[in-house]
Amino acid sequence: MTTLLSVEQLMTWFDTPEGQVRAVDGVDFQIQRGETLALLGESGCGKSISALSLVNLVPAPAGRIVAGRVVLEGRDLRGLSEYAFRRVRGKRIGMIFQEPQSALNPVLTIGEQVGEALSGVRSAPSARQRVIELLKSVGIADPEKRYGEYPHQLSGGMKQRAMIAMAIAAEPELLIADEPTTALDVTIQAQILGLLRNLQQRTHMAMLLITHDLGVVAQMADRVAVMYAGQIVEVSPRKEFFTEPHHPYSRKLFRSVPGHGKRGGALEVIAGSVPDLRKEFSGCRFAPRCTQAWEACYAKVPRWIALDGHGVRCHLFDDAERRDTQASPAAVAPAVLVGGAPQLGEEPLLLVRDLKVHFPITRGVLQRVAGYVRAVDGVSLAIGAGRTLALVGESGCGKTTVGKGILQLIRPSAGSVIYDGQELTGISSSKMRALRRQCQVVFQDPYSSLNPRMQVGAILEEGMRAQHLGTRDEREAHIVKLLLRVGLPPDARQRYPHEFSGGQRQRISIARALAVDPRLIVCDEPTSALDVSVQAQILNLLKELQDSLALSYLFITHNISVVEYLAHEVAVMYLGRIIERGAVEEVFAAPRHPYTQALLAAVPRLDSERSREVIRMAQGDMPSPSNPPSGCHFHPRCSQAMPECRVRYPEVANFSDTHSAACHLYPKGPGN
Amino acid sequence: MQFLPVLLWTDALIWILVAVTVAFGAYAARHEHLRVPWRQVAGRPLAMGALVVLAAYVTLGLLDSVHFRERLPPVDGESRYSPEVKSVLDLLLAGLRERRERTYSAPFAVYAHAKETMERPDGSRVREHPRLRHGGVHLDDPEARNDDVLQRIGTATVAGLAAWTVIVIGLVMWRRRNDETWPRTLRRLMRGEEPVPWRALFLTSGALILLAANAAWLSRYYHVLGTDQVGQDVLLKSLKSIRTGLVIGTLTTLVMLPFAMALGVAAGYFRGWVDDVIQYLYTTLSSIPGVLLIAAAILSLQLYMALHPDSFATVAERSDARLLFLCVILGVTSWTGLCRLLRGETLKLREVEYIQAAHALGSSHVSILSRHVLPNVMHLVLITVVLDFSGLVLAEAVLSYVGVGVDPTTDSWGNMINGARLEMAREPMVWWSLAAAFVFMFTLVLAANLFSDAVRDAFDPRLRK
Repeated sequence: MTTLLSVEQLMTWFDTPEGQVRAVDGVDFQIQRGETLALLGESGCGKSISALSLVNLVPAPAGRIVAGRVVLEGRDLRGLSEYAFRRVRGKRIGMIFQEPQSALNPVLTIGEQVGEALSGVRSAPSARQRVIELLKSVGIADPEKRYGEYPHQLSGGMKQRAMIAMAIAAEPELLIADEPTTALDVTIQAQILGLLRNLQQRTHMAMLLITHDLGVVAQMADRVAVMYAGQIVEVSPRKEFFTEPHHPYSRKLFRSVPGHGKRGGALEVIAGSVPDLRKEFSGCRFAPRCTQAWEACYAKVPRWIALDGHGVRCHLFDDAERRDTQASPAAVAPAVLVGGAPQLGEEPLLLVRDLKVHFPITRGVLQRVAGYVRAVDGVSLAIGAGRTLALVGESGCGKTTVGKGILQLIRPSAGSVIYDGQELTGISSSKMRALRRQCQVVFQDPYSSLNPRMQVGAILEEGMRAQHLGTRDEREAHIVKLLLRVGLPPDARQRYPHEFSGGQRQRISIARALAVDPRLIVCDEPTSALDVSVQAQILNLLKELQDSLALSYLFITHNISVVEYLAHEVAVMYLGRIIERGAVEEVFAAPRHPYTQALLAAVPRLDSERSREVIRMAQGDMPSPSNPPSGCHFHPRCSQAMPECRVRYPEVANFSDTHSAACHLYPKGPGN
Repeated sequence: MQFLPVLLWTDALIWILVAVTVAFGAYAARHEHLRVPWRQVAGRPLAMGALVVLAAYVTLGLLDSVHFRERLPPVDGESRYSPEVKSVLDLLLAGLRERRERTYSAPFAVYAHAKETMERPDGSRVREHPRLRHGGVHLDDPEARNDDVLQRIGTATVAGLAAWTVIVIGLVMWRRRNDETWPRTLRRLMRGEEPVPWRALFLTSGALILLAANAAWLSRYYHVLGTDQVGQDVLLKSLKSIRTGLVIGTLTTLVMLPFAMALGVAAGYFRGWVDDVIQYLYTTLSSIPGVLLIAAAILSLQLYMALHPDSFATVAERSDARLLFLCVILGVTSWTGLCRLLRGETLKLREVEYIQAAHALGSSHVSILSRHVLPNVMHLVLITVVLDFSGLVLAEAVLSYVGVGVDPTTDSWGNMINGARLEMAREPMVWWSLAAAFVFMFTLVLAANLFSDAVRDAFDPRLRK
């Protein structure tokens, strides 16, 4: 293998009114031909800026490349003019971005946009032929038809495929993929990752894969570079990285990933937060958060230590710095929380029967109802006091609407929601207002879930004011207690949301829900916008709150590992209906429905080998809930579909008291 | 009592507006999300220069908004007050008002603009330009006018510079830090090392002071901007027009805001039939030509005034009523734009998660609207108000020109332009009324636009980090 790209001492700084931010501060790495290097790091560590610096696309004028060399096959790219660079970009280095929605121009057809990326001048017919070939090679079915379609006519996965087609149009030697699957569902992610691997095998191009997802790294990478605070702290071959990570930060990252093996215990968290990149560092950047740090870590910047095949930037591996009495790297054992979850009581706290939420589609001048979007189409579930039910499904399956329907934020079209023996559907607004004390909600996006114009104290007080709880002084005291409870300082109440990080904001959201002493909290993807280490903090907090306050959670998520860690029961949703449900152990050990099987197989695992069997699911995305397929909704994508599946929606088959699935593969029905 | 205070309707509204602005300033100072953008505005040199100009206009406008009637010598022991309503500004400009010519005269003229038949001492009659009654009357030799003007400009400039220097020294004293030398403080202020661009403030206020000093000094001897048809000083008319422009620009938005905010936010938040009704309303209203509505309203008001002459005690009250009515009708026809903007923003906001969370907490609609929706659309309101201001000042000029604007007796730039339009065809041309109205209006609108640009930039979340 020969070195294709080598980056030396790359530095990219940003000028902001508050000072100079050293987003990338001395990064070195090499990529060999045909190899995949994964650049792993949490948000804000500078991994995307590093990639943009390679192709000279750093947002100017705020950002500028201060120093360093980027050598592509012996030629330094830094000296190139913008004109010359344009021929490197696209032709020799292709790029894929995270958001396929915003990376495609909505007023041009797919064919035109992919054609634009073709190098050189081609005659129209041959260019068209080549575009269709490209679309076919990235697995777009019916490319002749897709050629003339516009981006809005394509699903998210297809758009990402079109983006890949554009990136590989000129047969680049290096493909930079910046979080290529973060915005996609797991089943689509598995398809896209498979496609990238196939392309790489066929064309022998190198790939720089930027990601925050250890699972994706495990599936894709040959080598891994871990970034922290603008620097690479560890480079290692994949196998070695997953068996024996060296840098304390890498080790911590592994321990903070939730999963089945960590149930019952608290996740290990990385204390503190990412350092401010505006100051100069006199020691190790990770030292303030490191459990193994000693004086030297604060006093001296660690140098790069090359061990055979890998490298690490840590004093622990520097013989010159190593302490005589080295602390054992085994860190503090995670504290095991006492007491298992309370058992399901005889009377569930929340009972949902056959819940339906249909949105009318209106057409014409008179706004006549032409059809319904069946966002939720007959969902039944039950949550006991102090239990967690996870509602799992891909985006668009209606899981968020279930949550809103239960809370009566959207009035359900049919069905019943019984909370603590009281029917909530059709209840008057004023009665519901009083009941809102009992059921609260935590949303996904920590940025849009807090009013930017209100102080944290006022945000937390809102619920108490609305419910007329306590006097002013009592509320004030309660707010302080809440803030301490979720791990924030009491003086946070005079500050505004924008002064807090994503994880802290999510703590404020949780505190707001807790302010009115609820018994049930609907958690709508509360951690999916957060980094792994922050996610661990929030999950720990949620678990600790459940144990001490006997809260019930309806946990809506698409993240399987979070479900494995936190939930007691799980319900899998597909296109508005629950297709399989049961205790977490039952469902994950022996998934029965083909969709559940495919979903679980698509989740990238840390411990798995690359050649793991992927359950094939037919191409394509979830159908539209306004026009669901006849019979079983899943049959067009199901690898085990039978003629019967097209005709009739399957009955529910019970496998145990708790475990059941709706599939024609298990025809005997109840009592099986 | 020596005076009988008179509170015209527009005066009352203006002072209410001032009170509201001061209250908002106090509120903003205590709320960081409001304080930060204003601080950003304060850091822009162009905006601060524009603010100085605006402040000068507003000061004149406010002086012109304190009205009273003077006490007349008692007749038969009964106290009487003059039927003429005056303002503080009128008192300050009393000299200008008194020095009235017979008809047109050019700026700095010594002779009248039109020839008159005059009788010579020897009995023969000639047609020639007569000397003015006040303009340059102190000159024995009219030929020496230019030297005299230059000399007086020199005097006024020196006085203005002196006043300016006093202000600068005062400021330097105020901003001086402990144990800092004077030149250092001055250099620090001038180099823009402070968050507030003092240099821009110094330069604009310096220019204004020099202009004011020259105008004040020269207008004692000459008609700086000439006189109009009835011999009144054009400078006086221009200064008196400032109040009209400001009233139209500000009170109209005051009339418009409740409509736009209540309807726009309600339409976006409640959706359904409320939205349908409000959309229907503003679509209909915005498809009727505004000028037509305004003309109909003003003409019917005129008719009402003609039929009920007793309802208005003084001429001033009558013209004030018409001015107010013009503001109201302009407001009624111009709220649709902001309403549409607010509806769109509220539609977006109502789906945002913090509003969903407020619903989940059981907050009432009133509390959600006042605590979550309104504060988050205020930046749009502010931007629109500031941007609309200059448009409305110009609209007044156009309407007066068409003849449906303010009362003909009210001083306004629109009336000045309307009066001057026929004289443009005269030979030699009477250009100064038009030019004066143009320069005053242009300065105000330019300053308002520059300032509002800065405000918009500061409040636009897309431009903020």
